[in-house]
Amino acid sequence: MSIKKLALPVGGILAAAVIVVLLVGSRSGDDTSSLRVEGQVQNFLLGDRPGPDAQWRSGEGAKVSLADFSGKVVMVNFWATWCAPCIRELPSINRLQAVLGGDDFTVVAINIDTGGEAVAAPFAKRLKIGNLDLYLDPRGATSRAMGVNVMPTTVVYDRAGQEVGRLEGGAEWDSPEALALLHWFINNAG
Amino acid sequence: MKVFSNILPAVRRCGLAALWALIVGTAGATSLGSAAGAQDAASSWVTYDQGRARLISATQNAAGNILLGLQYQIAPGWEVYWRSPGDAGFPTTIDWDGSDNLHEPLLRWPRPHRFEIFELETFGYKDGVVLPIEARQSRQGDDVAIRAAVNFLTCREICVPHTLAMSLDLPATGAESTVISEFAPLINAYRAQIPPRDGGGGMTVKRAEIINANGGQLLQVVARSDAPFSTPDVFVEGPDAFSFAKPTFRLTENGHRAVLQMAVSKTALSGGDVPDLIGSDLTLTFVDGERAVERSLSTTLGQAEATAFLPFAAVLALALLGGLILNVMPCVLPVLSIKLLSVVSHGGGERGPVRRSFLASAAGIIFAFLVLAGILASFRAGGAAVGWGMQFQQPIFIVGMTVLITLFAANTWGLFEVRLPDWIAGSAGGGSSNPHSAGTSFASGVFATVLATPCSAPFLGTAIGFALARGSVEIFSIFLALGLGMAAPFLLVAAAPYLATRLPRPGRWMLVVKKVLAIALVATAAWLLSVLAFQVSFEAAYFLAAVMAVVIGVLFVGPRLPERMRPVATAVVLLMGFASFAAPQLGGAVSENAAVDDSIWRPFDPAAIPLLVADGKVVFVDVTAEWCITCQVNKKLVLTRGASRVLLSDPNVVAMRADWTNPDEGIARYLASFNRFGIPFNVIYGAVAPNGLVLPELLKESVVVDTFLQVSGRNLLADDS
Repeated sequence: MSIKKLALPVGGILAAAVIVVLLVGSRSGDDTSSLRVEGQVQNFLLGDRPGPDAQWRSGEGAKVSLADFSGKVVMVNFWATWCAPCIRELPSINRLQAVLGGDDFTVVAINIDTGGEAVAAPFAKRLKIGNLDLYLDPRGATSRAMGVNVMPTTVVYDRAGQEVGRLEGGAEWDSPEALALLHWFINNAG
Repeated sequence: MKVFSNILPAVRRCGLAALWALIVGTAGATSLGSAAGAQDAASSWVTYDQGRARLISATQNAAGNILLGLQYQIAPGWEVYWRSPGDAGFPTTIDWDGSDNLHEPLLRWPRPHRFEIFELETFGYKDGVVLPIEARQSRQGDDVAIRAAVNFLTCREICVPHTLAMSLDLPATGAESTVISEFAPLINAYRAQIPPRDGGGGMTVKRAEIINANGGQLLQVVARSDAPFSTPDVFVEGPDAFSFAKPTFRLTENGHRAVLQMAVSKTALSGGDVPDLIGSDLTLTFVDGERAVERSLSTTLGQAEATAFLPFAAVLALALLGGLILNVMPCVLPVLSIKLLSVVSHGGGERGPVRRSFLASAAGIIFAFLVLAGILASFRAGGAAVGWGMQFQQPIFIVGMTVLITLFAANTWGLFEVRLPDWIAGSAGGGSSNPHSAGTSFASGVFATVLATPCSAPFLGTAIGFALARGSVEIFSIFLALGLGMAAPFLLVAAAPYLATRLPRPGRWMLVVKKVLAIALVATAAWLLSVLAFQVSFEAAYFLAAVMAVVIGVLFVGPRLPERMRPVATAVVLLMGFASFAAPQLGGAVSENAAVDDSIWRPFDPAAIPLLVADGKVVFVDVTAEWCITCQVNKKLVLTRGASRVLLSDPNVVAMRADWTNPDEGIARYLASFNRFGIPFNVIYGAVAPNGLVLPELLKESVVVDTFLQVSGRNLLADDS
């Protein structure tokens, strides 16, 4: 056969393959072409690993785990009173919760001071971050389970409790870039 | 290694062994360790992402005392924290579990540095630091095993907590000799940076005061130094509920005194009940360049050292304002009379002469202020205590002023229109009979200034205090500003002469005005006589009054005498003028001086004040003088009536009066200790304000009562009710 005769079937097969790839890709929700990691959240590292079973405490003393937020995209932020960059970004996280918090998304801000509630509660009150529920991890069990080495660290979990990425270091979490990133996870992940 | 590479060469190697022997206090022989064995005196480096750390020992073996160091080498930009981290952070802590034969290891802190991270003030170290650790052997003669779990935080744009494990073994000394390690100089260099307590390095923290200002609080720290300060800073450790901003500082007394002020805010950590910062214990680490000192003390209630923090230009502005206000102060009644007269006598005049005349008066005022500045500056250079209005402490000055004012009154009344110029208008004016002459106007300006000095005005004390606390340049500049301020109304008329020429032409009305003013001047003379009575004796005052009566009598009959008798009258006036200066010689013992006043006042005794305050009393000090008209106004309008009177009679209150009518070095020094050089001066001491709160020059009842409540911790009235 001449090359010309082969062109049509080969071209057809290639075209079909491209169409199949595109269709499969969009169906599985992994089309990251619209995902932008830039500006305030440019150091956000996309990841894909299961969330831990770790438990921490609410300000009232109840045990809490990721399972309690199943069905929502969860942004877990670790902070401490001794951590200047955490103190710096907390007000923006407080504003973020006001804008985005609801049935689809919530912030879980976990304080890791060893002094626990006695230290964290008055600090949070003074910092006027009333949109954020107080969560405590004074022994560091949850922060270790979530692989936190630096402060602040913020980890985002999808509706199924799967980690989709994390940011080590501070950010303005109500900036347009951060909001766009989180909207993408709300609309596309899980 | 950057940090200590600068220190090492400075330490002479041969002196180290001896120094170290002193520090460690070993009885045995001491030798310098060889470089080969140096590895023994340090743990291995433990590397973390932002630097590395290890334990080092000043000795290679152990004999009694142990001196260790926790050495950090830190990547650029990263900070580790001081024992008090500031607004965020936490300090290094070491868990010694697993160590053996290590007794009471104590972590010490070299002087910290101030860093700003995300607008938060933090205290710590960058690049590198060695934290000295002092310990002892539990059992002499046994080996020492050091196991340290070092927990610390390091921050830059992010914070990373670390726990590092280190181990170091020091063998017991064999032959009772301690072998110095190569790390001894390094550890000692950082040990030398530990701030000594209470007055090391020639620096002393004097006091820490809380100032209530604009609804908030300021902490004011005053320190002194033998060598001038360069860039003093202070690190404050106090109740958790408060945080202290970065201080601003001002240097006074050629840099030997520093006043630092910083805003106080309630920290995020504070829960429900915030303790009162006044009276709480603070630990202050005062740092100036490479010098540092630490002091713990309780805060007291204080006042802002306004002058210390005012820029020179602002003080000049205050001086201008103070000078201007002098024109309307109560003691300026005679001054005002003279001015009114000069305005009136210009009624209907031409613009040119009016302008010249007012310019001359202004020049007279400014000239007088500069002369005063010269006198004060030279007295001050001679080490004498100086003050505003001090010349009124001299009886001879009072007599001179009385004579002048009497003659002025007689002249104003119209007793002698012609002869005065020879006397007072001076020769400078040429046309001596012309009251508008430049000489007369100039003299009236000088006269007005001299008469204004027993008066104090708002801002005047501040400006003069500032000037006298500094140098001659400041004294002359500020007095020039005072003069310009007081002369401002004259300069205004000179700039716009129609203000004066619009007045009605001199006529009958002017004679009436003149007589009223003459009476005012006689009243002034009478006041000066009363000052003299207190200062010298009633005899002196009566004598002077009699002499002045004769002068007025002669001046009255003089023009009615036949022509040939007039020289006799002139001679009598001159004779009386001279005779009047004999008045101060008629001094009797003036002991009733103090008893004249109410019984609630006790004599001034500054040494007793701290004792009375410690005893729970509130002490009110009033520095006053007979010649100080503002003082008399304060007394009449505030101190002797209403709530002030009630408070001063309270059994918990001790009222002290210092009489500065006559010169008194002790009172002058007392005033100078508050940076004040004039009166009235009132200050209230109490439990929370043992250094006293100074009241404004012009008293107001509300201010007096409020200050009473503040210094007493607000329980004064509660006791009464």
